[in-house]
Amino acid sequence: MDERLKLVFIGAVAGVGGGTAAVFLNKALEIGREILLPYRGSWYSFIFPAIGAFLSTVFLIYIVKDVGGHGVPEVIYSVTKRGGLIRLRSSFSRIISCALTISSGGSAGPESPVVISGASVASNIACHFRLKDRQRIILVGGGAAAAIAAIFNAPVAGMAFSLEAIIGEWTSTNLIVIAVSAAVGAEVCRIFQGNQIPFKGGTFTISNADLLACIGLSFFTCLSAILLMKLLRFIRSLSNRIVSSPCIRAALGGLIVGVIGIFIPEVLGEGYHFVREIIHGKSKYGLLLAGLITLGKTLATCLTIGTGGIGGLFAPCLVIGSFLGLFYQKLLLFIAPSFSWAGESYFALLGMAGVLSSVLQAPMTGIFLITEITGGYQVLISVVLVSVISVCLSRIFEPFSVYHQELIARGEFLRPRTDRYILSELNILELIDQNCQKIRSDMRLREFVEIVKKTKSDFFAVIDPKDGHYIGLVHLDDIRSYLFDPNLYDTILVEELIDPNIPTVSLDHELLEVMEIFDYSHNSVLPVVHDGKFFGLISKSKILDHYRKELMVEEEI
Amino acid sequence: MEQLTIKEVSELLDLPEITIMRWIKQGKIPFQMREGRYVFDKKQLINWANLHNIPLKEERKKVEEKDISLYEAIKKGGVFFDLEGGSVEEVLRNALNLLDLDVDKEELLEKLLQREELCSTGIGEGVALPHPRQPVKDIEPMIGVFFLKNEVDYHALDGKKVFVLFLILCPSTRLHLKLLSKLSFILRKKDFLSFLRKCKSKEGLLEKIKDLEAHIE
Repeated sequence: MDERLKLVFIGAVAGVGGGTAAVFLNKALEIGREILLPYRGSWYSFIFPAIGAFLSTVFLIYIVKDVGGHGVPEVIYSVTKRGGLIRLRSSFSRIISCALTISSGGSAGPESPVVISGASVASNIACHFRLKDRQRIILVGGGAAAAIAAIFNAPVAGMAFSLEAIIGEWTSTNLIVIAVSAAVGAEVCRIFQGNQIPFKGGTFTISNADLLACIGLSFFTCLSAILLMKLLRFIRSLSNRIVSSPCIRAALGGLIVGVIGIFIPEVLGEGYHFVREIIHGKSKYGLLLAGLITLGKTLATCLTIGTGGIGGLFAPCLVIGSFLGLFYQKLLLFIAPSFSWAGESYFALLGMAGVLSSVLQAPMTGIFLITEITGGYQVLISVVLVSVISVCLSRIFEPFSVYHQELIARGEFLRPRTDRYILSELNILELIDQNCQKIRSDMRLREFVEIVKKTKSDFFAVIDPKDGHYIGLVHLDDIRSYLFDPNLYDTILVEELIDPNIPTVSLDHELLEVMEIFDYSHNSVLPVVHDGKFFGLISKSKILDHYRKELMVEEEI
Repeated sequence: MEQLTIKEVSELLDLPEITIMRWIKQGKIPFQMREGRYVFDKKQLINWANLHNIPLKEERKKVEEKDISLYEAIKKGGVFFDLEGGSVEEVLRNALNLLDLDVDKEELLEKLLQREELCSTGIGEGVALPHPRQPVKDIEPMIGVFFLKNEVDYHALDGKKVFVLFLILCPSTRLHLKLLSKLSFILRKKDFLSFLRKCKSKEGLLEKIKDLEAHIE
């Protein structure tokens, strides 16, 4: 069967996996909510988020022994560095952890855990069909797209999310498979939960003044996104410094969130309930309260996720965005009360798109998500306007998305077809030139000259005759003057000709580090020595040769 | 269908086998599985390489250049006596006319004279080793030996007039240097020089050269 066609079929299977993961999490959240509902009003309910966060981290770290994090960065890392391999246990570990966190009141979203579940299912399906790395990466993207598509019943948004945030490049092969996965994922969810448009709004009457007002809103969404990202980073590093145990840290974060929840109950949970209220125009919040909730939700989200709670940023971004939009609309009414502004649902939707696009640095995801979840294209122009302006502005202060920041901090961020990516693909073993003559360190110059006459190489590795270990490198250029002085032939030992300024590299070095050594040492050739043993030479010219070929096969035809 | 193994592909693409293995794993190179082993369809692989502009290492068409001995080279070029001519240009032109060559002789003469202008090839003791500035393409390596009728002022380093020419023509620098090095070696011997002064027969010279050459290595 044609490779591409086969990939499309397997992509559809991966879509089923991603969609099912989303359905499972939805059910788990519902069950959790029902169990806790009778106790919600009681005086001790503020402690729930702490217990939930504690249990979820204990479950993740000690019971299933999976690495922490909210999911999406792990998927991106696996796509760029591990050929899309993701452990099978990731397919359920985060769903359970996340259900514990959110249903107990932690301020986080279910999307990231579902994304890693969908991706993990897809990755394992790819392994089952013995697909190659490249194809597995596309499938992982498909699984992630299906997950987002299923949660929001928004296939195009899922596709855009996967291409923008996870795969990082839009190519024809990627697009087809991921689109199929996303469509299948959304369909699976429709079968189980019915074809609901989550936030179906009414009709909007949008005047030119409203369009202009969008530009003002995009400043607010940009600021809000920057605040969220900076605060998240701050709380993460602060909490890491204060508390070393990850479970206690998450519990403390949850406790503070619980306390905030006493005063502002809107910050608790994933918060879609409130978004729906605003979009349907049923909210009763005033200007100040809307502003306060925006800030409170931002703080609660950073506390939940920054301290290590398991959950995503997707839903909190939408909640913050909708309250911000509401706040902005009330602000417009306050400034110009006689003007007939578009309804609060209109601005809430735009606020969601702006904040989400900026935090994820993914404008297309924001645009398509809002268009799809409102079930109409009426707001398209305004959404594009807010998303694009907000992303461009926030990029000045926060150039990378919240997912990429984590990887950059760990030095593991790679994008396809970049220098770092190609260097990370190549292995030192592939570049070693073994045609380098080895000579004994106790050899006299006279013998050495005879060897020089017969060989073509410019470099000679000097080896200790006793244990065979590498001692140093002799470069012909450096010793030319001695070679033509027969008086020295019996007085100089090869050992004395070694250039001491040539650093060595080992087989464990990443090629990126090797290039740095090349750069600072100004050598064109470096010896590869591992455990004292000489393996060969690695040269800049050979690297260039390989590097080009590596780039060439990456080209999509 | 012509099948290639990993080893052959690695030679064709001039890449180590581990790179080919990695490309297989990553799905970057077209391949098939046959009885649990990776094989490559040659036609498909070449198409794929051309599509990606990946250079293929040319299959070794070039036949390795054969080494030639001094004796063989002189036998090929020939030994000639009583060459006419009163100047460098005249003797060289006459010498070329005697050689069995399928090249433009005027152009070759031009190259020989250019070389003489740079620095005389008269190495002293009445001997000159004329040769063109660049190797001559598509010829067999040869040395023509010409004994002059009248000694010619060759602007030699030691000022002595030249009585014999060893005209060296080679298709490559490597062969040229090899022959030149051997020739210089035997020309340093005093008894060979005096032998040349008295030499009257082609067979005698060839015999002598064969004998001396056997002692070089």
